[in-house]
Amino acid sequence: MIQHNGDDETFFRKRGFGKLLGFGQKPGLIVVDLINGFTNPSMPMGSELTGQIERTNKLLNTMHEMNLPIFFTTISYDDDSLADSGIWFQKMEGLKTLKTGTEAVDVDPRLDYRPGDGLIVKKYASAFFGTDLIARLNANNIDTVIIVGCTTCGCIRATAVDALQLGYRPIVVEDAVGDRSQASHEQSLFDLRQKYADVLTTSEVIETITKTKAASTKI
Amino acid sequence: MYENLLNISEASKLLGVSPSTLRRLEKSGYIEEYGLKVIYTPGGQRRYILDEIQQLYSNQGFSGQIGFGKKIALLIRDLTIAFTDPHSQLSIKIEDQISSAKQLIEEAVIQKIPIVFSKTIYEPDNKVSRLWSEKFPSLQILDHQSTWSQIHPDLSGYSFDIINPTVYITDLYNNQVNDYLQSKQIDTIILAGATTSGSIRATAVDALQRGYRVIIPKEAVGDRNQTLQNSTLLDLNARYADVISLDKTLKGMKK
Repeated sequence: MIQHNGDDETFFRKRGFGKLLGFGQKPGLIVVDLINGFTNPSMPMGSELTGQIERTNKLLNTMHEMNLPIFFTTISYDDDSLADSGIWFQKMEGLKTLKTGTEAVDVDPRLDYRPGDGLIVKKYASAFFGTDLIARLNANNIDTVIIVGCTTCGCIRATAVDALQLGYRPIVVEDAVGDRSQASHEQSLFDLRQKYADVLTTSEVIETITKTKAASTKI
Repeated sequence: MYENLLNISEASKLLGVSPSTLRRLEKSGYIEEYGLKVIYTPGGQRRYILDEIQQLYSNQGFSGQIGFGKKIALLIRDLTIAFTDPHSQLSIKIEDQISSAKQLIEEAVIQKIPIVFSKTIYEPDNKVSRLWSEKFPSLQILDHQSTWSQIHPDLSGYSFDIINPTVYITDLYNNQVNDYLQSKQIDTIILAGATTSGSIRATAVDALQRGYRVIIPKEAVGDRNQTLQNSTLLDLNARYADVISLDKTLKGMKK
């Protein structure tokens, strides 16, 4: 399953890829698509993400304690014929399971989702496309986005790439993101680490944000 | 000979598509491209091999083909010296990308299909440019004026409708490009250039989000190694774009 041996790592390092971006002044947490339609393995687009949910709860706990902003995302289609998925539905029929008003589009109840946490309803892969996420990040003076959820090679990756090209520092939490395919998961983490984002573990992230006391900059 | 054969309703349920979609994909030859065997019983019923279906589902997902729309544009990215010269820190593994791009450009000229050439540049005064270069400082060689940023000599003689020097990862983070595509009523975008796992992938996702059909001729895109190339094309085809051969693309461009 491991696709990247040391040679690939060495090749990219020699060429100067994969440096650390680091944290900025204030982080926010984006919990991408940990909704029943993706976290229930018996759903067509679902997979087993119990470990990712546990680690996300650890991060949520730290963020809540430090009063740092949290944004959950969901994908939810309200049009009967899924017209609000554009042409994506023609590519991925499984999207039809994400209908507004069904349990599939609700945040997984195992997560510590509290009143006051943001909810971003998106229609596509990136949490930024067609949503008010930029305005909410800027209103909170956030310059660093910590990204967890699913799927690594789909919405996580698209959100991280958009975050970078919008000027935010993306931190992808490697043990709190997951994918239906382990191969795609590892491939995307490799790519992200080389070119677009810092890829860190849950404990590294918690250690960094508690140590830097980013909450003191809160307005 | 084969164990665990599935009938069409079982196979389609596992793949998350309808039986009629599965039959249609077989007719158009896509089932074969996915490496699936269809076995016919003496009574003419289709049978699928469970292992293959499971592997397909878990590894790459299953996907319909979106196909060409009515109005096409060709978007070429980063076939510049920096990405094609083996001496460059940024270079891809060059195979047939340049000759494929030439064929696409020539067909586009004949069919009056608009062509946009986007090239990544580094602007020290731009926040995104500076941030991205923290991740890989070799980006800084892409000064607008430098030789690295010049179009590959085999392609530089063509006239492009827009040349888009950009600090962004996707071609479409530019209002001039978006307005142009809209004014031409473009509904289909063909992507060529570099790198497959980088700007090609990001532009494909962005284009789909904006409602465009995305076609990627696999010979016309390239990356720094084969693993990145292959796995990205599988992902893209499963989720966002039609990944097809150069020949099929050229045929689709003809009116």
